[in-house]
Amino acid sequence: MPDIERELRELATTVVVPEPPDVRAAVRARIETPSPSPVRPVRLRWVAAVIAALVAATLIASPQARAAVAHVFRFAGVDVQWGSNADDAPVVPESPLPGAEPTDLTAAQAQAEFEISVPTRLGDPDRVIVADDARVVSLLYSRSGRPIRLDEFDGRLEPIFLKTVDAMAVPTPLEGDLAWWLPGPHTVRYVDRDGVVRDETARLAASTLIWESDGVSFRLEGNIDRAEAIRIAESLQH
Amino acid sequence: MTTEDAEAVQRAQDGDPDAYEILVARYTAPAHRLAYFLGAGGDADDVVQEAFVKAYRALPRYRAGAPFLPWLLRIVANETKNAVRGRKRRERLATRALDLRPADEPYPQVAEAERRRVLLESLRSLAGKDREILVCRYFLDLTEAETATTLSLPVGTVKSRTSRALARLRARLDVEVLDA
Repeated sequence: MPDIERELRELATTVVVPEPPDVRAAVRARIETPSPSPVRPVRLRWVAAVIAALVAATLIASPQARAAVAHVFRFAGVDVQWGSNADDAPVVPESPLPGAEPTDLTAAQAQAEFEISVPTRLGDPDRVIVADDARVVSLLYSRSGRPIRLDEFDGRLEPIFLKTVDAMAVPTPLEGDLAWWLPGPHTVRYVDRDGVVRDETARLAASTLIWESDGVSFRLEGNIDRAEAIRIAESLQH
Repeated sequence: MTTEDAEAVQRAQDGDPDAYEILVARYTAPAHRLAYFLGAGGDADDVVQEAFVKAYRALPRYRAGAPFLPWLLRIVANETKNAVRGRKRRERLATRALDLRPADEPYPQVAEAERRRVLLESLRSLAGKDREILVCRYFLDLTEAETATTLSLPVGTVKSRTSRALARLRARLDVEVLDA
């Protein structure tokens, strides 16, 4: 049988592709006009705020935490910031996620750019919320009256996820990757695909497991112990 | 990255629009091809233009020495998603984009033409994520690393999804051939 890869390359030559446009003049006209970009100054201000937050976090962190910062810094686009309490953190506007709306799994998947994962251990969620132009999908559960929440963030384009926690994060192995177990409520800050920084305050005053898989960042919140959180995380399926 | 690319990028970063125009001319075709196969549909031309403008503005953040094409294609891929909102809509346009040219010869090899038709049909039936990877690898002739950059995926994911998708195509073709 002929090699399938060769066949695909041959197929590429027989597939109809429209003529590419000549965009040189249009592009040139646009790049020679200074961009009226209201986004950029805002973004720079945010970048400055994030840097300030990290510096502050490093200064106030315990020696133990300080040693861990370098590791955490590169983890899955997720930055973890320590402070003795939330007042130590720089001002974080408590805006809700933009455009949050209730939906169901099928509709959420149709909107989201990433594959939504469902933990088989929890089964189908009781409620699904999409937010921020479907960049964040939240699966909500109630188990014996206790809420469990799984937030899935479209983690492409190197998002920063800035969390303020008042206790030490515990590195936790998860199927070969690393997850972080964080006791206590926290604010999450992430950067969406267009480079705009978004804040999400903690929804549940509960423990959290955060990890990354296949370009998507996850945050699991609930009054569950670490072992249970890991079991839930490991049961994720697209 | 070729030396010419590196030079052109460097000069463009220094604010030379002529240098950037060289890059635009050189990479319009692959940018357009990617947008089209990712489901940009009738917006493909606009996506290409927008992507080049965005790439120019992002040049200060471009890491010297990184290959230019996959960096640009990643912007094209994101721009396609911005232009055509809704995964389902893009999926529809992306599958529709996979269409065979009418045969050049009056009497094409029937078996070969049939096999191509089945292959294309199988490609259409793949999950969008898998198809996007095959499109990058075989329709745009990108390496695994370039594909990973373009689609914002880890290289390991590109590898595993490629072999999974190829296995599916093979299985599908075998069935069709046996049936024939």
